[in-house]
Amino acid sequence: MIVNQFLVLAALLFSIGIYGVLVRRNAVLVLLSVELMLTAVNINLVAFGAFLQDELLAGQVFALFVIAVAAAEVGIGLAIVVLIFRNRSSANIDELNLLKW
Amino acid sequence: MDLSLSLIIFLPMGGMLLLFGFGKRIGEPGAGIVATLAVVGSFLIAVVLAFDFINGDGPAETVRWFEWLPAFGVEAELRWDQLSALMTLVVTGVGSLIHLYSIGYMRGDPGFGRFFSYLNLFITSMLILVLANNFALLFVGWELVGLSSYLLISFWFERPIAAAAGKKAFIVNRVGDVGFILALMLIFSVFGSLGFDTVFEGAHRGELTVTMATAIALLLLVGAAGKSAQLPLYVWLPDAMEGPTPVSALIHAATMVTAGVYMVARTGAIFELAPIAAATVAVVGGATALFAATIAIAQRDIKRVLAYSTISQLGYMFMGVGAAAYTAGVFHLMTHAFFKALLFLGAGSVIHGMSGEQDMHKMGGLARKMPVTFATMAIAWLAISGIPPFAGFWSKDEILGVVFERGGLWQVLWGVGLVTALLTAFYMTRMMWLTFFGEPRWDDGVEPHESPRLMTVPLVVLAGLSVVGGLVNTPFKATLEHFLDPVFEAVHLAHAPDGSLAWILAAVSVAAGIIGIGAAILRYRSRVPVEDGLGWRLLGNGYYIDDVYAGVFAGGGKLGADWLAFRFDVRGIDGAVEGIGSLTRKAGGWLRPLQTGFVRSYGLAIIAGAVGLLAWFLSRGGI
Amino acid sequence: MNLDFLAIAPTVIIVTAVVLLLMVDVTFQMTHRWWGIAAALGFVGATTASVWQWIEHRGDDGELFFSDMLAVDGFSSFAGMLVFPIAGLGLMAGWQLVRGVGRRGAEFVALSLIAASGAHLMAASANLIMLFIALEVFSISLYVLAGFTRKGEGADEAALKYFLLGSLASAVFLYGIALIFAATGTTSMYGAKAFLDSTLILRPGILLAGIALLLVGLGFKVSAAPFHVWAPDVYQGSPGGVTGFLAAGAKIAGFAAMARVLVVPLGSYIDDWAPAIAVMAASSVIIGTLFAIAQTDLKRMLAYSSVAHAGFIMTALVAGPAGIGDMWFYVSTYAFQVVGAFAIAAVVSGALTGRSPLSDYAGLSGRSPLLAAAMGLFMLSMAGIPLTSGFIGKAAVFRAAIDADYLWLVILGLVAAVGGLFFYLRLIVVMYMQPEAEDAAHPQVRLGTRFAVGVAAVVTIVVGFVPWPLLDWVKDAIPL
Repeated sequence: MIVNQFLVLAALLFSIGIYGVLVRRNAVLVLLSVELMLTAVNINLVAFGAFLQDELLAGQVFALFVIAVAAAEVGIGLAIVVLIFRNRSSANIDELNLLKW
Repeated sequence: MDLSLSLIIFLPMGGMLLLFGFGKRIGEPGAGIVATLAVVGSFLIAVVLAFDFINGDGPAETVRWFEWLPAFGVEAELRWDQLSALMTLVVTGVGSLIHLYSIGYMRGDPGFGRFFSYLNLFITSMLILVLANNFALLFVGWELVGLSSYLLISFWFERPIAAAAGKKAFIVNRVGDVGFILALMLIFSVFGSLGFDTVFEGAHRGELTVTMATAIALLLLVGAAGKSAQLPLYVWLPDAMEGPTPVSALIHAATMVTAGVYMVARTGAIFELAPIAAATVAVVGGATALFAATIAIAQRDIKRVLAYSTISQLGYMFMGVGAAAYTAGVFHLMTHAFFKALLFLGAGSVIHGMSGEQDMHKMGGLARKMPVTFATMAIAWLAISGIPPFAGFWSKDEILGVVFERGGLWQVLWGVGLVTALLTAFYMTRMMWLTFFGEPRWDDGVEPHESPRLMTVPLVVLAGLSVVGGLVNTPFKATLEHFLDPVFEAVHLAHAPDGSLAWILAAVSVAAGIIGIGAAILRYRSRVPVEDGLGWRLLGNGYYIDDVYAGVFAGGGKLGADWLAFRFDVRGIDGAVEGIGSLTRKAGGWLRPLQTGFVRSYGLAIIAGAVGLLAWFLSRGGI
Repeated sequence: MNLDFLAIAPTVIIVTAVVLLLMVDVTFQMTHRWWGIAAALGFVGATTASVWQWIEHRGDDGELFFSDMLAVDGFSSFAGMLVFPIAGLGLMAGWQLVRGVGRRGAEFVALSLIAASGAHLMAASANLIMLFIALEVFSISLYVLAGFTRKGEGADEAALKYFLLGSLASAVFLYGIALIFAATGTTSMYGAKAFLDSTLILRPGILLAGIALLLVGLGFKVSAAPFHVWAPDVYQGSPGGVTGFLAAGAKIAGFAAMARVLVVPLGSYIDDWAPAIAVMAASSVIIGTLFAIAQTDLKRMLAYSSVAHAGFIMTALVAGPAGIGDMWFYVSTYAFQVVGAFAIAAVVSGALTGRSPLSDYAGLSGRSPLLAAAMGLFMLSMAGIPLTSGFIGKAAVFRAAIDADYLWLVILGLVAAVGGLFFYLRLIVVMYMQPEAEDAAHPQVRLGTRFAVGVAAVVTIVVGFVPWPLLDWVKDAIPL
């Protein structure tokens, strides 16, 4: 089995995620970009798990855990974004700079 | 032995805790009496314990309290040898006289109990410093001394000047502490221990290279210069006069400022291996002595004269210990403790009698009004001017003799010392004349009067010590030298010349003193000359060093200070203190915009950090 | 399957307390007193269980449980003995906040309990999967706590910043785990250790990249530069009653995880990661000190100071296994100082508000001498003045670094420590020498705050005077 193609795919997805986090101004889109990064890691984990032929299936199991945790994280994240939107009628993270210096 | 030696520290510590808790309730004069008794008790114990040393050569002893920092091989351990015994006697002896005097001086002050609690804290810290048997405990004492001096100088913290002066003392001392801490680190990295015995024996066995010894010694010098107010870190001392006068006496005579001299003497084994560093100590001392003496000439505030005089005399001590004349340096430390404490307490008595006036141009003719103060201060005046047989003559003469005997360029230093001696005699005579002789120039409504018995008794005792204190170590009978010999056994001591050369040198230095006194008498005999020429102003303002510091450290001087929302005073030196702050604050201020408040730039910082880490790790392994 | 109830006792007790609290609260609408009792049961129980673990497993008696998922050793039980009491003190100090948010107070208490449990699990996990889950349990609870008041002046912003940056960092961290899994073929730390100790990897690029990314996530958690950027904003914005635990807990858990990961599986790569840790330590110390000087808000200043402290703690880690005891010493003393300091901040500026400008503290010595004295003590201790626990802590970590031949780091640390004095002393000067504002209120100090500040102050002084019992204990707080 050749693992490289999965790794390249994962690395690309991860980089796109980082790019999204750095340039997106809408908090929801930033959140989505983080999800993209987690997905990239999942691809990695599953690919490595298959490649290493681990008897415990640690890679696959780990991926499931990551999906679960990511769901929890998104839940909290969206809640916080809603809170921000209620307080400021905007989800633009560039307007969040009361705390600085 | 264990208990009694510990008691020397525990008595004032107990006094401090008691007064800190119940000082207000005990009230006046009870709090003062408690504090004084605690220190007197320490003194008496020290006398008893020191008897072995005086009689013969009792063995040096150590008292182990507990294992303090096992990782550093450091135990909380006290050391009782001749040097620490002498320092303890000076600290507690002079200290108890100052405590006694303070009961009278601080009468009616709302912070009476607090004051004595701080005084006891000061004595405790100083005793920890001189009794420590390792660098770590020494450092604890060193820091506590700094802390308590801060508390005492800014005792009247409602006065902004006093608060600023305390802060300045603290900050300047921290600069010195950096050197000290670095020295400790180097010592630890070389010897793997901070215990005195291990370090000094190791140094003696040659475990120290000359380079390392020089580095350590120079760093120690930085620390000592901060505590002992040497160039260029002397600036805190004149301002420290803002504290109550007994505090000035305590800090400038008996305790804090002598810590640096003590430390250099204690670490003689290291300085011996680093001749360059030792010479630096002597040169710094000589330069400070001359420098401060010239400034003292032009001061109008009686306490500032004494402050600069202290700096100058400390310079002598540094010259002595730098020239490996540890006994002479410590000897001068002791005699100076007597006569300078006397001078400060006398000045306090004058200020007390003049209802707080400190300007000498508004004094004059006080000799008849305050006979005891005058008589005792006159003795101190002769002592500091180097007139035999008073105490100052013997110790100063010994330092100068040793420096001359070293030959070569050291003789230049001897010349500096001699000029300083002349200047010292001059400015002290000027001070005496402006204060006690001539026509009264008092402000209206000032009724000078002699101070109460409680204040004059310590003066008389100190005057007695200033007369006979020098006789413990004369060329004819070097008692002190023999006394201290066991401590400096391992160190090669420089010695004063003997024979006819000794007589000639002594005669020369006495002549310098007499010339200084004579010149001053001639100048101030009949009137107070107007002293506001360019030179006088330059000297009177201490060469504007404070302003230079302010300028250097603050960049824009006052501008920088104004920029701060946080400031106490606009006088030059406080500008410098603020300046150090302002410089760092400005640096911080320039950096602050980096923290933009935008999530995305924070994300960028994190990713950049990740890339940096990745680059490092990949450079180690390759892909 | 090596099952043992003691191994999971702290977690089970906390979870029981949380479930009880939430269920009972929903059913019976209890008052905040009952929440307090539930929290006390949880924290006291978990602490007791940790002490028991400590007695059974300290030193060389550590063991792995649950298919090598959990390590119960001196390391994890020490972390438990530290983090549960600290979380308890933090909750006590923030009780005003609990009372101030109405019925939601129960959630606050529950989240504090869960966060503490997550922090403890971070120290106890012996498997990278466990570590990730524990980290998320801890972090997600903190995201919510940071924005708990839902106020617009800072709490919401703090929560969002913390959340976005935190999930970014944990994604990177996760990528690191995946790479390490790829390089070693296992997610078990001890399995990886066995593999790495016995195998020479010719091209360790994947592994090393994994270490780098792991360090990003952990560096974020402990707020080490340059991953500290979140700390000032979050500390300043989050409500006063939260910040103490947020600061102390993150340090304990983050350093526990960092130390175990670096020393256990990656111990044989110390020559690769120690220089990186040293550089992170140096930049944290410098950046933390410089930025702290310019601050005018106490909580923000303490945030930067915590960055500097992270640097000091990492100074111990460069020594590898030999530095773990010193790390624990510093972390534990610092945790008490920081909880105490933020407890006072919560009194002076309010437990529900975020900001805490220095002007609030002017003349505090007149209004409340004891609070001012305690605050002064914490500042002196953080500055590393002798006879406080902070001094011994600094001495310990510097010694560890000297032994590891990182003299330059020590000298830098010393210089920074002296520079740091400036801002610690500044607060003391403000409290003692500036006149108070005319309308300054006399702070109301509740029993919980009194207790928290008192305990923190006593620990700071006692450990400063008699450090050796703790110095002896931390020798046993080593990972299996």
